Amino acid sequence: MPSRRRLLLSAGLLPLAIAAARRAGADEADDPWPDIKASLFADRPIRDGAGILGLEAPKRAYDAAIVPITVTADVAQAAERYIQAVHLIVDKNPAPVAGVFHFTVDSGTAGFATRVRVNEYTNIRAVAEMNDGSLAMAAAFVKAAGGCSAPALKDAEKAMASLGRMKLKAPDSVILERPNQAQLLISHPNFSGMQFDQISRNYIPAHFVQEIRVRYADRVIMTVEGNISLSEDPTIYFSFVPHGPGEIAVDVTDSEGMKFSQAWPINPVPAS
Amino acid sequence: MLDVATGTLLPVDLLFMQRTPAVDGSLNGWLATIAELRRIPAARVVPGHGPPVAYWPGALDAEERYLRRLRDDIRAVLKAGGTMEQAVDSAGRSEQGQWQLFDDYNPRNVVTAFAELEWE
Repeated sequence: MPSRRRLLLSAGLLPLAIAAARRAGADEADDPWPDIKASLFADRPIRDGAGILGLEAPKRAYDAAIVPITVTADVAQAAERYIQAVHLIVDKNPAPVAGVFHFTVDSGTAGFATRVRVNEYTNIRAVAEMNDGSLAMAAAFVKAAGGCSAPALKDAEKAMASLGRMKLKAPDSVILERPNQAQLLISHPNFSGMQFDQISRNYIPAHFVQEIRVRYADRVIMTVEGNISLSEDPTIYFSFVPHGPGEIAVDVTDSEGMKFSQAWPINPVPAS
Repeated sequence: MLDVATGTLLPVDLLFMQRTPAVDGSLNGWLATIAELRRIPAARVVPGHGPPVAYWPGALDAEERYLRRLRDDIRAVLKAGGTMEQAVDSAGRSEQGQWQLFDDYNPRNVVTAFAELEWE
């Protein structure tokens, strides 16, 4: 079974791996947050998220491999003050950073929703990074276990056949000059490296969505740095502000360097 | 698995009676498999969960009714643009009272099936 350290390394999170190694032998009940915080944000202060962002998660997850998370944003994406990134962190997962979600003024709101794997009872955090570099955090405790090693719902052959297929669900009428929410679905097993293949008797190598870039009319709406803690078939609800007709264009790169792209035309209408 | 000598069918986890069926793969796939199972000319069945032995193929009826209800309810939520969380609150609820461990398994079934059906 891949060690916590190896997963951190494979995820390119060397500082986290060092932090994890440093406390090797420490009581597992220890709170991992101080190390994660130091690795990601050094000694930058993180204030309470009230008035900036909130995080909604089920107190007890029904399926630890598919835990719906909603991040709400209480600030509009105005040019002078906006949320430029949200770090979604599952403290006790082997790779704690589930994703870093970057937003722009054209996102309209940095609020989004996605689904994550949860390996054991843990705090889940959303840390907002404002355009001035300041940080704010919302958190929730989630009871769930086994989500990172849970077998895939689709068999591997089927998952590979539809690898990279995407679907966009946008409202029937998209309104000009205001945030509209859409859902992006990406067909990808997002193998965590911790899932056991009962037939080959081996662990399935990690193979996951690493970058998602969403543009509308050639303007960047959202960029996501993903990891193994995002659920199989990653999905993201995000918002965008259209100033005219255009295409939502999505480019995905996975950890094997495979690239997938798709675009959907949108014809926004004025607010009635 | 069919014991040909006695005409006894053992469908293990494909047949739940009394206890809430657990969806841990494809809901559409399970419903398609139920249709295939019905064609097996068995005399009796030993369900994976439920009584020691039951009539065939009538033993499948309740499970199939529940799975269809689950699918119809989730599709209705999806059609209305609803979320997974909203589906958990509503889908399959009319079957509550018909099954043991309903509150432990129905919400999980909704989550798993929602992630499949939202691709339709």
